[in-house]
Amino acid sequence: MTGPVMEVELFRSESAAGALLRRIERLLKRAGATADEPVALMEVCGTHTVAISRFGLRSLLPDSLRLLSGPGCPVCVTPLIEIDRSIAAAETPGTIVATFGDMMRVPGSRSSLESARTDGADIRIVYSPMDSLQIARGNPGHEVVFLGVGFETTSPTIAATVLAAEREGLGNFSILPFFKTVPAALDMLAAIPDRPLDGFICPGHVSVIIGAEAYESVARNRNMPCVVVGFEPLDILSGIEALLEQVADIRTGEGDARVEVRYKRAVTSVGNVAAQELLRKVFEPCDAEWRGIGVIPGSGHDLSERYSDFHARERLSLDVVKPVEQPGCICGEIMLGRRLPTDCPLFGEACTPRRPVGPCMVSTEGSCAAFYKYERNAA
Amino acid sequence: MCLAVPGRVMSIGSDIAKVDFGGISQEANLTLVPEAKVGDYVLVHAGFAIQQLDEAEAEETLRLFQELAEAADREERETRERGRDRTGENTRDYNVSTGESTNEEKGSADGEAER
Repeated sequence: MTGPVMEVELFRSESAAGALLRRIERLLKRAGATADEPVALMEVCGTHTVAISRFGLRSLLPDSLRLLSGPGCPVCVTPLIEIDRSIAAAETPGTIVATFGDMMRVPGSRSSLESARTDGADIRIVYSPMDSLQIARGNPGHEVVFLGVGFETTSPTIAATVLAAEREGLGNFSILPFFKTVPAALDMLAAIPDRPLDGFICPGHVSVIIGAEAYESVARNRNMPCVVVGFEPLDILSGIEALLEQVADIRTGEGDARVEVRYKRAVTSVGNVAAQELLRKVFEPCDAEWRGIGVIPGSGHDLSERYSDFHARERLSLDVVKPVEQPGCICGEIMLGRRLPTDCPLFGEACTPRRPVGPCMVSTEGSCAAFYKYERNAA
Repeated sequence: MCLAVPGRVMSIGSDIAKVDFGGISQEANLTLVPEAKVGDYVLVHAGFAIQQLDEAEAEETLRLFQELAEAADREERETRERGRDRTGENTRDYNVSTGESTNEEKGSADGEAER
């Protein structure tokens, strides 16, 4: 016997989806949206990117609504130089690199972690960052470097791992932090003047940690509707409906942007306070470079001074030459919401999931990779 | 990357729980949800439970979806009946899978459930 939170089929009902689609159509009309001037909503979560593509939601929605994929995949936005640095760590004698599997095939400027492993580097895929502590215990003569990739969903698990290593006195464990934080990125995206954007489909599992109130300043200061959304088809359609209600209210002068939660079984206003405390203890905010976009002030997490000994750069020499991105790729434009993957001349030809050129194709959760897998023939 | 899977806490030993994911059980670290108890539903990401799920909220959300579907069925039935009264002709149905209207006569009001 399981409760409704485990029964995903309940969140996929066709009759409720039909009802939501009809409400969405009406709200688009009330907002004055047309195919030429559609309402544009952006998701900033790779899991949403994949869910929207996989469930074929774009094909169900009217052409007066445009769904854009923002920079929602932390693997994709990891700068090329950091991929090169990770490979340099793996190629350092006496080092074991532990990583989530998503990072393996991401091409650096000359190689990837996968090819480095084929060439003899010791790189191990882990399910949980805690697994890397087990590797460190079993290999006391080696430095074990965990690649710290992720948004706020993932970074608390790595903060907890650093604290466990400290408690245990594990001297051969360190991390390479490339963490990104979402609210500063949303604020930057909302402030871009030269392309239409009417609201954010806020990331469900990032919001589990940071809480819905983290979007208050974006909603208020940028008058940008923000709705926290789950990952099943009805969750997503219901989130779109809530966003369109706000968009219609704003356009008819009946209301302002606000933050709403349509994933209440998982997300609260304040978020996971225990996880936030760990983040504050182990990390500190920093400016971060997002591949394809550039540096966004205050959009990253680095190890705090107290835990800076756990930074791999304190243990290994990881100087690499700054690489150059390949020309022709429009991933930056895609992640800023100006273009769609299918607008790129490289898409599906020079750039495929097998041989990715740009950041949106490198991970299965990148918008180009999701388009390639699920919507290539529909486009 | 931010994929998280719901499961039910079956047992707890220090900060590690055994969590059942609909028949498959795996360990999850409880550091981030120190208040989780046996029987609770949790969301698991990268080997850590990151949230306790709220069953009452899940039921409330599903109730709202159900109401929406019923209201839409009622509305469609009324529209169809009004259309028949007025013209005696077939009315248009809505196909969820394509988002298109069709002119086929359907035997029942809940046309979208039949596709």
